[in-house]
Amino acid sequence: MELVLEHIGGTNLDSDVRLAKNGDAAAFERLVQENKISMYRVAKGILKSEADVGDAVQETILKAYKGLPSLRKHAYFKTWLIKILINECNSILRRQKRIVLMGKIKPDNAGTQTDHDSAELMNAVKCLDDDLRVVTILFYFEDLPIKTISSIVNVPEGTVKSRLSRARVKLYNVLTGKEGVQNERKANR
Amino acid sequence: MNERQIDSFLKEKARTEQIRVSDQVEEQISCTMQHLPRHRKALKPGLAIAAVLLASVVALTAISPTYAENLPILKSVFKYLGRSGDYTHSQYSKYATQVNQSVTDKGYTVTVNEIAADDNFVVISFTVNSSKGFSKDLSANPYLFGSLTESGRIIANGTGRAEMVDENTFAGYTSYFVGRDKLPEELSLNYKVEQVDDTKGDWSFNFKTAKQGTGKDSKVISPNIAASLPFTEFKVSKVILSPFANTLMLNATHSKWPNHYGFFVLDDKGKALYVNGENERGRNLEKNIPGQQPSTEQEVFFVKGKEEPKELTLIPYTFDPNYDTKPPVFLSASARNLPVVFTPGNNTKVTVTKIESNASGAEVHYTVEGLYPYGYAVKMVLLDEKGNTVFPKDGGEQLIDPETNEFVARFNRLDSNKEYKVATPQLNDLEVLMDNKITVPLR
Repeated sequence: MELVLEHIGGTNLDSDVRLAKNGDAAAFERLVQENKISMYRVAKGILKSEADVGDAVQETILKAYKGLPSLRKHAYFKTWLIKILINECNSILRRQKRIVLMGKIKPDNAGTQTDHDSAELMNAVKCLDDDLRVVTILFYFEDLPIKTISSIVNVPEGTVKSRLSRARVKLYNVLTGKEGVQNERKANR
Repeated sequence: MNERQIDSFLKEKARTEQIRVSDQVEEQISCTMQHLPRHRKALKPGLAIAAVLLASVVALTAISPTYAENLPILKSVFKYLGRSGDYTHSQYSKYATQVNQSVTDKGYTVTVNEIAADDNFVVISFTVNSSKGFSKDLSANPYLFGSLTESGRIIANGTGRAEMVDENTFAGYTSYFVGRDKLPEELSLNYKVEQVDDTKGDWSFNFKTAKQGTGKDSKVISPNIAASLPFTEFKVSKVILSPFANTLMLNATHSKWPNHYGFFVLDDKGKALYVNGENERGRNLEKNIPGQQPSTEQEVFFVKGKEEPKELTLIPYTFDPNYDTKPPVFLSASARNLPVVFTPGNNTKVTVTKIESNASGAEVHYTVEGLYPYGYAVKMVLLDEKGNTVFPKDGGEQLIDPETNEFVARFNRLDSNKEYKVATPQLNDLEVLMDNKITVPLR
């Protein structure tokens, strides 16, 4: 399989990153548009409410725009962006944990379907444990290699592999009807 | 099913599943994009360069749609775009051939004004006119940059920029890296625009170009020198020194990917040359396939001085793979007493020599000595009293003199009630692999 790093999704990645690094908002917008589905999907895999997903994506875009001058290898733009996004999602989760301690409990709507993501596999992913969801999305949906995932989520490659191993069987069983979604959710709690 | 089969099943399912970003998140993205900080502006095009010769250009008729009368509203678009003294455009302008052919469709007239080519780049300047004006900013509209085909084969995708001349006119250029293939002396080229503003249409141009005399200004060498880095075997396959660019082409195979490395380029006197661009493409990067190593093709663009070096030295460096997720750490100093000397890395010196500030903006002049890695779009910033970073406009840096490595960073008008510090990012995450350096003869 050939991967052309400088041309992803029909635009010239290297050129757009170079332009965006120097403040070209139109080039930056193209990069955001190219990657928004990936950002959305990863954020949905970590966060439970749509509002939080929006906040994480929004903050990621701002941080990426401000931090872009320091991006060294243009080819790693997407990896870099997702790494920022995961940090943002984790920050939101940490804040929510503090809020819960103060007594405000948010409804857990993990696993519910919305009009926007009725996809079978994505819904099955939502039923996985928290630590499995991100690596699963990065591996199956974003088609990233284990080494890159290891770098993004900051865990050893062996841990990524073991998480994928746990996720693989559960997803397969859910999708082939051997395991119900609701049962799986309970099993994970 | 075994693991591999389940993976194939799940990946195929993932590939076919569509997800749509919710309206709520779309709105947030749109709102964020509209309110990005505006302290940085569009880039002056990247690849710095020397000079070229392209002798005759014969514009053939584009098949459809209707031709408009030639509308050369600007005598030279390259001159217009380079009016602030940009070195690259002055070279394009110097060696360009006038074309001035127009095609009108759906109320938009696209004119190809000039064309220039060498062994590295084919560059086309264009203008777009519309009597009804434009609904969008076309300054970085990728549809205008098109692709370049030769004998029906796409040889390169374009990159470039455009700027608004007046409410009815944009002027711009698109450039195509053609250094991977040796261009024949005569080329049949097609430049095609399929969308302007929000309107799809057909603006197609066919050219025959003949290069004459380029040989005396260009040098193409195939040194085929092999060398090793940790985790990588690479070969310098080609060096192209031409009027529009200087390019090192590398082929590499990697036992580990991703590899976070780059190259410093030094001339035969040991002076580090300004690296102003990189391209990279690869195979097998995303998969671990037994027996199929990841491999990449890379181009490193650099600026040489007036004298052609007898040889180049490549010094590899590696950098922290997590560098990009960390906020840059700046070295800063008061701008009151010049020169200000920074040593952002063990092998690097940045000296601020002159600062000018007036009602129209500020300029910081500085020189860079030693090893400075490509990828830092911004070498010089200002920090206000609260530590907020003020980035330069117009692309972050402009090389003024390749002999002395003097740069200028231009800033928008500063607040006269504030005191600013000059600042440059630290480079302490680099490891210079001096033992792995190689020499590439250019004779």
